[in-house]
Amino acid sequence: MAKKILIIDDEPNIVMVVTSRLKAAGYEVVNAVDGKEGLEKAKKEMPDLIILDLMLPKIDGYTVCRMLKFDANFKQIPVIMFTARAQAADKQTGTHVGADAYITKPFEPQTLMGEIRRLLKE
Amino acid sequence: MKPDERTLQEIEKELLKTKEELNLQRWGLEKTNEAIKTLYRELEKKNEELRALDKLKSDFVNTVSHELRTPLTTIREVIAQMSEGILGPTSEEQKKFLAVCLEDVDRLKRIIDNLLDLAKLESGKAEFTQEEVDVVDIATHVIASFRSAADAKKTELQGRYSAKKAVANADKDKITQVFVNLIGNALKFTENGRIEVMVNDGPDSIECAVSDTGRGIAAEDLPKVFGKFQQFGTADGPRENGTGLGLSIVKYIVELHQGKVRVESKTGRGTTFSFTIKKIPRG
Repeated sequence: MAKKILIIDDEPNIVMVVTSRLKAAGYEVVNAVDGKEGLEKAKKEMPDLIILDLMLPKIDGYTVCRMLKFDANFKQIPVIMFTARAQAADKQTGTHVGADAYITKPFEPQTLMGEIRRLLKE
Repeated sequence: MKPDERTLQEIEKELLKTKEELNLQRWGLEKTNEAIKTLYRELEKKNEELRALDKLKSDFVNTVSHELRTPLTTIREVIAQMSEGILGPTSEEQKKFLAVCLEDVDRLKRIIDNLLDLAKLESGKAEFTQEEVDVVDIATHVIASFRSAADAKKTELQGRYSAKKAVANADKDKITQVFVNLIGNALKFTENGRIEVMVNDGPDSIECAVSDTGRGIAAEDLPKVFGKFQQFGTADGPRENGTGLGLSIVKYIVELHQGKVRVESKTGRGTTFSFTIKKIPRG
């Protein structure tokens, strides 16, 4: 069965192009447009991996990540922080809240796909 | 008794006069005090405004960074997927042009990154970490990363160090960037030649240099090389795929480390960029 990936990002164009790449690689893709919906979708869909934007409406990406990693039911789901902010301090905060990988936009397709395969142990 | 009485009267008069004078002075002081208080309040307000402006500037840099990168991400990804054939079959001719697009998108990304780096350096907002770093080790690593690029341009790339180690308190990532920018620059303008990277350890500072046997910089252009968006060599060669910001960044980083950067060059003979890293006591 195809592994399921949840993309939480408020930029529809980004969601569209990343979905296209992930589907081409054989993954099932679901998405959410803000932090609140992201948490709800995570509960409902139980994805194998989450790609999480930082600057999100309602609940920001750091908080979403922290909430997921504090919950015994979700903490094993790998989270890739996906952000257009490239400051070293942001990356540090990402690691601090328990993110498993940090990818900056614009991203190298090989880097994104490599991290996904690594975290899904494929 | 009489003279004494008169004296007393006189004293009283003088005292009254002094009292009046003191009152006048007090009034003056009170006025000055009020003026100082007003000035202080105004300064506080100005200070607050400046702080707000400073924050706005720093927020602005972050916001611009985010706003520019997001659309660039979509554009880059669509081009990449088209050339990979994910979005349907692509002809060889189309792939050739998509590769050109990708190259320019990446160049745009580098320009954005460099402009933001520069904005941060200029506003003093750059994250600056100080740790013990071995400059010889940094140079060795950067040289290794340029090895295949140097081979492709049939150019010899070697390091010459006065000692096995040259340790200073510095920002490792930023010093690495200085070597990357200088060696990358040298390689751009050198073919079938030689690039030497020197690190000399001294008591108070570390002297570094990147020398090439490339086409060199004309004397009239030398004072401008550290300026922004300065790209030379258009007369005798194609415009290089640079951002025109690399050397400005080098200058800022070196000065951040209380060092100096220098350039010497002769057209057709080569160029040497040298810089110092002061051994700042840890603080």
